[in-house]
Amino acid sequence: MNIKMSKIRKCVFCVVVVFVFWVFTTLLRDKSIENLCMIPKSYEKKCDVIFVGSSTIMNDIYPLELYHDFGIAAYNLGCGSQSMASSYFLIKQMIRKGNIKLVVLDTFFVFLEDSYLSNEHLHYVTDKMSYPEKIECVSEIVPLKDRLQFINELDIYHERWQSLEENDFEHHTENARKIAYGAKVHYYSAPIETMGIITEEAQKMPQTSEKYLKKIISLCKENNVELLLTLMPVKYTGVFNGHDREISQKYWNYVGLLSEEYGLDFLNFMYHYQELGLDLINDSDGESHLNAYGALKCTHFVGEYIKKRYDLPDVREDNSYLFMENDYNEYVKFRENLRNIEEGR
Amino acid sequence: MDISLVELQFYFAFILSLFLYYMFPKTIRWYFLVAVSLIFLIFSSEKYVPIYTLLSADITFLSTIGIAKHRKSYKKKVWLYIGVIGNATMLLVLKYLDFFLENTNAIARILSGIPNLIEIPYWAAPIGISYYTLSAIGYIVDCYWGTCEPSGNFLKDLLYICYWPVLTSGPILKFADISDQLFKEHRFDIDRICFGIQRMLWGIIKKIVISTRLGVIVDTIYGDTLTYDGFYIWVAAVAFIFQLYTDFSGCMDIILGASECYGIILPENFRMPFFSKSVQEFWQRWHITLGSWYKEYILYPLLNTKWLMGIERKYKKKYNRKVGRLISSCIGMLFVWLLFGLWHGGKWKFVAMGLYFYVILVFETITNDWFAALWDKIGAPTKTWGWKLLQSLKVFVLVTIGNMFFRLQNIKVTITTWKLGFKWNPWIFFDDSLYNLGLSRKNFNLLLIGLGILLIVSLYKRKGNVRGMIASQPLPVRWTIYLVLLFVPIVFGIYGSGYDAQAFIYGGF
Repeated sequence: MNIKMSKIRKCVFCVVVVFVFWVFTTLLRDKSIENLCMIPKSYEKKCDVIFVGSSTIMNDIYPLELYHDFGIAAYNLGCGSQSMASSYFLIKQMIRKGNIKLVVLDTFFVFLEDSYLSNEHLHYVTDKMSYPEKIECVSEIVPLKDRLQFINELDIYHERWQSLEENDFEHHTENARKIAYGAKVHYYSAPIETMGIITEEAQKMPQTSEKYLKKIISLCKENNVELLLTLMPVKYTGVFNGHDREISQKYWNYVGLLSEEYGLDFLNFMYHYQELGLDLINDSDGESHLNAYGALKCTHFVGEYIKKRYDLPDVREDNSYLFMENDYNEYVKFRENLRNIEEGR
Repeated sequence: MDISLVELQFYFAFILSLFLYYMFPKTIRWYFLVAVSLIFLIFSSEKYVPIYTLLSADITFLSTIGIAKHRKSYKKKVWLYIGVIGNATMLLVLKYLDFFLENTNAIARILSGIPNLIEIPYWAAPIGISYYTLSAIGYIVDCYWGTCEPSGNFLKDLLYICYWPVLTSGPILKFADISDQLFKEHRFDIDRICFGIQRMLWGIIKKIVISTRLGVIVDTIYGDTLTYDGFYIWVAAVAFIFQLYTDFSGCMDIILGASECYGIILPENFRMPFFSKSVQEFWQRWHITLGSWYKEYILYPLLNTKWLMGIERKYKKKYNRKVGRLISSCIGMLFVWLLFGLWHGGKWKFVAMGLYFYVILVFETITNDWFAALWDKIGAPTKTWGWKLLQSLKVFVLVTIGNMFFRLQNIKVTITTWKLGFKWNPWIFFDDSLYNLGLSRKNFNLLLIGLGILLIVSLYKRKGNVRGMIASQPLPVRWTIYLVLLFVPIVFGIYGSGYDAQAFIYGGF
């Protein structure tokens, strides 16, 4: 009896240890990246379209507008500096867990030579990623010495004990990102004079990016998921964070060649940005992202494009999607509120 | 590839080794420890370097066998010399050759102006060479003296030399005391393993919660003594002595705890040194196994040499027995403390550190009786706790100053730093300056709490067994303590990405 009790006690203690570990991991996790690159569980199986890529797509596409205007059930899984490699594992996970019909992949970041920009940026993608894709992603692209921090998040976040605040102790499921279905809504504006000179010249993109782009193409093909490649509107000339966009243009044109080779659509706004009717003074926050004014125009254009080319159900007619109507209203309220705050009204 | 005792990978490997250890039949578990130790040795040394450790084990095995075979012949002494000189030579060549050559070059430069007379070669030393060499020599000498029987089994000698917990930072072993522990059949005992893990966790807390934070303060001040002078110097000196203590004793806790999990109880290396009333007592409580080794294998044999006995007799005749003994032991201690300093590394600053403590110890030895008589005469309250506290403070100050040799680059820098310490700036203790020494205010406060807990645990240790006390508590209290032990280093430790896991200070010897 005593031995049995002792064994039970030890098991209970192990459970307590795991629980406390989970509490600390949740408490100390960086809340600023909460809900990034993840679809809420309740929506996972209902989502038809995912938007994947770097901050350009995260800022430029508002999924709830797609729902409202076109009846598309979409979610934005974009995040800052999302590389092709990390997009691949994210898509793989969403294909496994959901019923994805269309993947919209932004190719802005193909200029990256490595598998990912930095550990910090990779955390945006992996922190909420599920197993086994998380292990697969980390073991495939992260050097051995850095892997532990992606598996045991406390390894990197434990130092946050110094900056814990009220927010960290509250159960936060609602935040700006979740309200906007993954999009980053903002109204900051910074005028740009011109989008720059466009070249049609093409140049082979860095090997790693090409490798993962091709893997994404194969993955979608194997799973009968449509793939739409995009390049969101950005300023096309100049050097940003050490990357010359005139060189990147050649890579993006190379993406165009690949899309032709694989029979994919490539919505390259390098050649279509004028059709958006963007106001360069008021519609962007600088050289890389659109603000809400620009994003609404862009989202509408992309919505029309998708609706015309892909056979997607209009979920507005489906009662099981009624919650999206509420979500849309909440999002509009949130967006308007944000506009008043950011524009000082 | 280096193995760090404060990295998660090490603990995965340790738990795996523990699991496999208890999977083996009891009779052959020590063979498994030989294999694990060899793997540890290979992974923590450069390519060819483990050969030196194997060679040392080989020499030790052959010489102990040789001594046992020729008990009554002159060959016994030959085997003693082979064993001792063989092991000592490896230590001298691998760890001190550059020191000798650097000094030879310096002399040549002065005498003949040749800039570099001899090219200094790079020879990597195996992990733990300073520890296992002394353990090996002690074993050989004990066999020679007949106080210990050789194992007669190479693998047993190999395990004694390269038992992995000991390779990292000691303690220095004595074959007669440890052989039973190493080779006996250890049964699986979950309580003992829990005790071992508790001790390891306490060691990890000392290292990554306390010592590493102290290290930030020490590095900030000693990295810029022109800015941080006056009282800052003494803040750094105090921080360093605590850093050294929490680092070394923390490492010992991890090592002794890990070994306890295998069922092997290693000798203690620390016994609350800051409660010492004299510097002599301090060295009996700090790095105990090294002090004992020097006493047993250097000091006592030296005092029994004809030369020192002659000196003792001479001064006994001239003055009295006490003076004769005092002079001979002072000469013997000089050798011991020079070697003690040098053991820490081939640098003159370590020699200076050894001499510094030698001078204090000689002074203590000479004046001990005088002061005792003086305190008696003036009726000093020597039995009160206040008096004892003052004695401990005196020792703390002397040890803190002496250990500046250890931390600072060389003798010149140490003396200059001492001088800088005399600038008057006591306001640093009141104007928040201490919060600007590389640690945030929260980290600094956490450090103070850590030191406070360390003091409380040390005070409790004087009265009894801390782990026994924890085990006797009601379940909720016990579990809370275990959880605190487990999660304090995980949450408050300085480790992980962006942090270059610092090696243990005593891991370099």
